[in-house]
Amino acid sequence: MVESSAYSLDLIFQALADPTRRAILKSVSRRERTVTELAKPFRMSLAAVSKHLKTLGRAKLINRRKRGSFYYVSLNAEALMTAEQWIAHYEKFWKARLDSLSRVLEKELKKNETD
Amino acid sequence: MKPTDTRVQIKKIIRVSRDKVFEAWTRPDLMKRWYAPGEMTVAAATSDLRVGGGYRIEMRGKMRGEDSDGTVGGKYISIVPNELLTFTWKWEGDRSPETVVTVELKDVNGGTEVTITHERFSSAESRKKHEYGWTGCLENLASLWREYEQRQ
Repeated sequence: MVESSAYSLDLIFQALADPTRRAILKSVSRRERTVTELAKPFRMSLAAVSKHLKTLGRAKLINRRKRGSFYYVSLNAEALMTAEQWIAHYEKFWKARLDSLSRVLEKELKKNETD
Repeated sequence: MKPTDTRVQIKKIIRVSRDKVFEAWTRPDLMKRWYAPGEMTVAAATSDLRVGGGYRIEMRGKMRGEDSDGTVGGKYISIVPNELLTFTWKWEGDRSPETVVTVELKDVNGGTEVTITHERFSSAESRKKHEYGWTGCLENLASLWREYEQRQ
C-alpha cells in the first residue's frame, strides 16, 4: 500500500495513541481553540498542553496560527483521513484474506471427508 | 470488528480445527493458496517458523485491472503453535513503515475463531512504548472524522 508523502502514518498513529491527545483533537474538530481553552478541561498546565500540541503538530494533525498574542489550534482533517484510509484498506484486505482462507480450508476438509 | 479503534481487528469463524488454520498461516505451500487478494496469485512463499525467522510472500497479478505485483515480508515476533502468531509486516520497496500483525486462534463450537489484529508501530521498541496507550478505551476515529465532515 503506497502511503501519502505528505503525512507520516507512524507519527499520526503515535499521536493518536494517547487519550488526552484524542480529546484535544475532538475539541479542535468542533472549532478553532486557543491553547488556554484546550488546557482548561484537562486541568493541565499550558506547558503540558503545548507538549501534546507539539506531538499533534509533528503528525500534522493540527494547524496552528497566531493572532495577536493568542495561538489558535484547528484540526487538519486531511491527516486524520489518511489514518482512516489505512484502517479501511487493511480491514478490507484482512476480511477478504480470511474469506479466502476459510474457503480453502473448508473445501479441503470436505474433500478429505468424501475420500 | 470495532471501528472505534485506531487499529484493525477482524474476526472470523472457520469450520476446521486450530492446527489446520495454524498450518495454513505458516506452511508456504498452504500460504500460496489463500494469501493473495482478488485475482492475484502467490508466486512464491517462504516461512522460517521460529522467533526472529522471516517469511516472504510474492504476489502477482492485477487488482481492478491494474498491475499490482507486490512482495510482503517480515519476521516472526512470537509463536505459540496452534494458538498465536505475531509477525512484522512490510511491503518491499514501499515507503510505508513496518507494522505488526497478530493472529489468534480460539476453539469455538464447530471450529476455530480467527482474530487478526493489525497495528501500526514502526518498531518493536515503539510498540512496547505505546502498548499502554492502546489498551484503554480508544476514541472513535471514524466518528471523529464523520463529525467533522458533517459540520463542513
